[in-house]
Amino acid sequence: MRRDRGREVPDRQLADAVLLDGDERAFRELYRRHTPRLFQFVLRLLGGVESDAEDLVQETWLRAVEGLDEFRWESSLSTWLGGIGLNLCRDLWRRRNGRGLDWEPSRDPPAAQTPSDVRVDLERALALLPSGYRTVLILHDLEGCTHDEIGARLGIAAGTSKSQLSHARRAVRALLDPETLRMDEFDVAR
Amino acid sequence: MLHDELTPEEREGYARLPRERMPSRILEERTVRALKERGLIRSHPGGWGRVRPWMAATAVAASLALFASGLVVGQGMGARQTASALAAIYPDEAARAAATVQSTGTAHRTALAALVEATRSAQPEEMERAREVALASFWASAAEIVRLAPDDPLAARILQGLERAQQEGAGAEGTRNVVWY
Repeated sequence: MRRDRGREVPDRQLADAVLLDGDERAFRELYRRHTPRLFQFVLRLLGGVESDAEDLVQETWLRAVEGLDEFRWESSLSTWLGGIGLNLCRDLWRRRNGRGLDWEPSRDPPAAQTPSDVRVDLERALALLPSGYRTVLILHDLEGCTHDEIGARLGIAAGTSKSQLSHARRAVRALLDPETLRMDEFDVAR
Repeated sequence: MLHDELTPEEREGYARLPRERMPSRILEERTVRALKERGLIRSHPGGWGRVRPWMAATAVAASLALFASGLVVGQGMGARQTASALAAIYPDEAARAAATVQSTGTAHRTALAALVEATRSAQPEEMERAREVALASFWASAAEIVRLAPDDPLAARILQGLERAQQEGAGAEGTRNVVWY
């Protein structure tokens, strides 16, 4: 998404005011400018758990402000924030399951939440995916990242990203249309 | 083929998913407070950032007082009340600002009571307008109290309830992102 910045103060100028003067107003402007996108991004990565997403957005901003002097502005501030948010999501998954990104679709089927005869909408289907599938699909199909970029961000090979995206898309199709669900693809509706 | 391509319908479905969502206002205050506690940002005494909450809350209350008193006792009285309330604002002095909130709060409650009386004989459109004004004032007040005390659970719950109601209202009016394949 591109914002019409018009006569808005550039991000870099606001960031300098935060970095050099600790300017609260400049921070609030940056926060209001970038948080809606950051929040939606991490909320979707976390499968719609708002309380986790809010904690993670707060932590993202804390780390961003702490590391602002090291940001080289070679990408947009929004992209940088998204990267911090993504890393924090991975830390959260690692703390909770000891593995980080979950690529195993059938180990923890959310069957109780999703009766096989009930169709779900796209957002809900994404939330039901294992975190690894969901992350690759969001980065590729919603955020427009290439497989090389996804590989670099997640520490996996580009080929792995491609294959996981393929599995993820099939899993979403299965969730959206349980009647054609192939149990060998994704075991969530049993 | 390993890499299944998206169908046009799927592509459209993903494109329709929202890319932005504003979290609760409380999160902004929590984040600002955490940054201040770490010494990463600071307020600017006497600056606009400090003046605005009180001015906004008071201005909203004064506006409501003007609206309601216009319904009940006429524009002249309302204008005098508004001028009096605004003249009492000294945002750089917390005690006087608190006193201003108290006095305008009393005026607010009085105006609301008058509004309730007035709407009993009003047309439906007038009642709806009055309800909107009253809710907007209530919402703005809750938002400012959360800014004042981000950890206050009552203010947080009130604001969250209002925000949830707004989201549900928007959701009911908007289009759901449902894609059937």
